[in-house]
Amino acid sequence: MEDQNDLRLTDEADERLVPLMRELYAPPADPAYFDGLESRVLSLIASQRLGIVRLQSSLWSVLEKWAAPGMAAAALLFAAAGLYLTRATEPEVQATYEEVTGPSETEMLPGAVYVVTAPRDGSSQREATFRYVLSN
Amino acid sequence: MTDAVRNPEEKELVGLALEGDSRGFAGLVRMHQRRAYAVARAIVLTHEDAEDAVQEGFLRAYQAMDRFDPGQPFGAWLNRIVANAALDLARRKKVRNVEELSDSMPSPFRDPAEDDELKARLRNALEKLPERSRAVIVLHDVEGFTHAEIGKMLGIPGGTARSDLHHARQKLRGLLANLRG
Repeated sequence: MEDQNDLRLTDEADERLVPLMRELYAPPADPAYFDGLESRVLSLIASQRLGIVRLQSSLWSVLEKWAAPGMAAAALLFAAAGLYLTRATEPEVQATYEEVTGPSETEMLPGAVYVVTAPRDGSSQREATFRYVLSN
Repeated sequence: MTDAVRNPEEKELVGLALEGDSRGFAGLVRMHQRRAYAVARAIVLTHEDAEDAVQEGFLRAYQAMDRFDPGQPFGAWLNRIVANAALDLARRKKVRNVEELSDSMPSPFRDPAEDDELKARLRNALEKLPERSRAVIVLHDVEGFTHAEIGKMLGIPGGTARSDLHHARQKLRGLLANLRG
């Protein structure tokens, strides 16, 4: 019994421990066990695969139904946004133009004379600038 | 023990599995499940956990088949996945055991005929080893994997697997000495 309990190990695998470890870690000897394990593995995979397929198919069928109305709505939204942006920027351009070519508030001193130089009559920007310089 | 040399049957099964033919993957399960069980069993403490890790490993492998390089041996790739699944399971169990059963170990699968004192003490000592140390010893000394193969499975360099084996043996020696006293 004493020599059986002598468990000193060298750096190499202990010759008496290895067979014992093999026994401890041995897979089940019954071949039926692995037949069963194989079935359980394949069933697990099948159930996961079915789950994925069902999820994908239901997702695509929902997306398919919404594809045509979605495209139409997106096109309408795009057109409306374009129209709105075009209209919204027009007055802004005009205001900016008048702000640049018109007299500033600091120039509007009491008694001062200022000339409206905005080319509302269709004259060019160059002419308007020229008139502005002459009037000051 | 290495499966670096591919056999034609495995190659054919891998081809079928990659084409989506379920017979291909079923054949690969049949071919590799014993080895996969041994890898998982080396890492986790119980037979039941080993089986769970094998199932999880095969499922992960199936889901990752499109990323498998057919030029590589399937067994080595699968063993790494199974080892990862087993390590994940062992970590989850460890956290749960710390939370729920602070001073008790999970009851491992017991061979009813096992009454040998030495075997019981060895099992007790192996259970006390960290899972990586236990895995390295069992995979090397019991299953015959090389340091490089163990390194690939556990995601560590082969040299680290070699030094881990050395330290694991020292630790096991110390544990057995303590148990003897």
